[in-house]
Amino acid sequence: MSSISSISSSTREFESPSRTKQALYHLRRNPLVLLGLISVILWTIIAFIAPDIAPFEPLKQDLVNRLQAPNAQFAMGSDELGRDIFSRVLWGSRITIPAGLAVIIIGSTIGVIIGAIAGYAGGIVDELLMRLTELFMAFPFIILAMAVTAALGPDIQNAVIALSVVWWPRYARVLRGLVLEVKSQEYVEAAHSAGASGFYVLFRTILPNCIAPALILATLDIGTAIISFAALSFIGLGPEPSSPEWGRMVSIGIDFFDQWWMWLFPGFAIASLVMAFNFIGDGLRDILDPRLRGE
Amino acid sequence: MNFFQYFIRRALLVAPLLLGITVMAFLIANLIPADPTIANLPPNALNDEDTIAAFRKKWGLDKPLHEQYLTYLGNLLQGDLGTSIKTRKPVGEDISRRLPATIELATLGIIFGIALGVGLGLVSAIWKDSLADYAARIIAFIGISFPVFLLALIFLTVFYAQMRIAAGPGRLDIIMRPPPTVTGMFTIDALLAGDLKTFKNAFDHLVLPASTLALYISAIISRITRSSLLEVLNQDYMRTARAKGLRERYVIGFHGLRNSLIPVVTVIGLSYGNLLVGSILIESIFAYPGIGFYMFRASTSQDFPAIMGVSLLFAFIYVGVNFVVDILYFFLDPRIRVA
Repeated sequence: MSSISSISSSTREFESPSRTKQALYHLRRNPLVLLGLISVILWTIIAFIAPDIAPFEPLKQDLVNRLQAPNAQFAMGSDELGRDIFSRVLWGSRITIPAGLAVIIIGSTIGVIIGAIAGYAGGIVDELLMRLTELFMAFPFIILAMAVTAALGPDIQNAVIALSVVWWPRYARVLRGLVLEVKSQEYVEAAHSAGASGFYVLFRTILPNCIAPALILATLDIGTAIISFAALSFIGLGPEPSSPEWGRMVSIGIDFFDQWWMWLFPGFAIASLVMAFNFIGDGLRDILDPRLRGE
Repeated sequence: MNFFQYFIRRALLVAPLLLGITVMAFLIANLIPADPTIANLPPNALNDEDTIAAFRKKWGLDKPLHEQYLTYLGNLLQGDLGTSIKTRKPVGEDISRRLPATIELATLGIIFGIALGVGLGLVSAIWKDSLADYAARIIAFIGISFPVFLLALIFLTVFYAQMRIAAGPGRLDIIMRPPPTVTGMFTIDALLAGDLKTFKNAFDHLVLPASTLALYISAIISRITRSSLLEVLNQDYMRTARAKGLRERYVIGFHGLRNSLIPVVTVIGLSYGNLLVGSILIESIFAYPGIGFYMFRASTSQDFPAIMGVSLLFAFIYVGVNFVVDILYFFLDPRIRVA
């Protein structure tokens, strides 16, 4: 069976439709990816224009109108200080999206560099770096991030730093494996024999051939990064209490359990964004991993 | 390789890991805060020269770093994790008092979670692309994409506040008295005391948080079960098993599930990390007085010694669970015995 499918896939490659066509084909087969893309784009736009479209200032208190259920004036109700939940949810995207992206970018960069050096250098350097990676992976990563944030002092920046610090090990592992694979290719040998320095070979010849899998891993990971950031700030290790950060808003909402709008809407905001990224990541994996396509 | 050799070999890998964890915890606690004294003592104690001097002496803060670490390790081995700023009690004591509650919740959570996860994964893989498959995958998707604290709040609102079919927050109804302490786990203690009423009440209070925990961890388990089983179902030996006339039940149950179990067991070990994190978020919403709730309180009040104590404990539990998973491979994967 496997030989038949490999023949059919090679004939398809022979026709080689354009990349755009291929992308459109997969998008049509994975409507959820499209849905995810649209949601992410929408949230990104909201993050940019929140100050212009939010009906209220996110920090403006209005004690007369506190704890209002959703109504014409407050689309998502108001909180214990009379702040407009809808405006705060819109503004929240300006904290959560950059925070999630920052964690992924910093974390994956550290991981790529460490993994690449380990794989390329080999020997004792490899051994040491991999033991360090294992040590980081021995902690459940959010727990480690909690300890680091608590030590640094809770605020947004430190939460991002702490998450980045615990984020890299998986990337380091994947990259090390890839570099080991690419290292033995003939073109790497060619680069060496042409007199290129080790540094040049690693960063200009080997790494560009390993970057795609790291990018995919990063896409799959954004949702997790966002949800982890929200969890940190939910337990008070993120922005200060008045901040319109979604996790923090849910956390304050616990004390106002019956005023469901206080926690439900920010909670849904997290869920919708994470779900969108997961749709994209999942679709990407299905497209790239033919085994799961079930053909 | 016999079991004993395998066990020793794995144990030798775990020991340095545990030591490494203590080094990391020590470095986080002592190097990152600008002044460990300020981070670890309650604000009002900072005016008291004697308290500060005593603290610095106990943890060897005036000595070089490696000696500080040895002091730290020595204190740790005696179960001394420092003193909580908030409760004013030793962190070790706080933790051991709350641990049984969390073990009770986590055990039920992991049982529910594995049952739900493996069940959904099985259904998904066997009836691939059916309505059941889509339903199972949507449930998994929600488990992955919804923050667990949101799930907990929704469950509490729907099943407790609205429908009134589940017990509310806490470990027991307020009017109930805890059973006499033996293990600290209310369900077991109640059974030991022969008190079925308390047992039922304690169990009822566990069901909702444990189900939330289960939904959260089952998401990953069901996905791995599905993809792992799908891969196995396409193997030649499955066709052989069918061809020799085995009933479908045996084909899937014996040949399929068993061979797809190894990645599933791995992911169950790894999802224990999620279980621990989940316990923090869920206990804080169900006002369930275990380690997770303690950690939540500690974080919101910046009780640094308590946070470090719980982090260390959770890392040890995580390593321990994954060690057990490693040991399980020996029984699941015959290849290890040959190698």
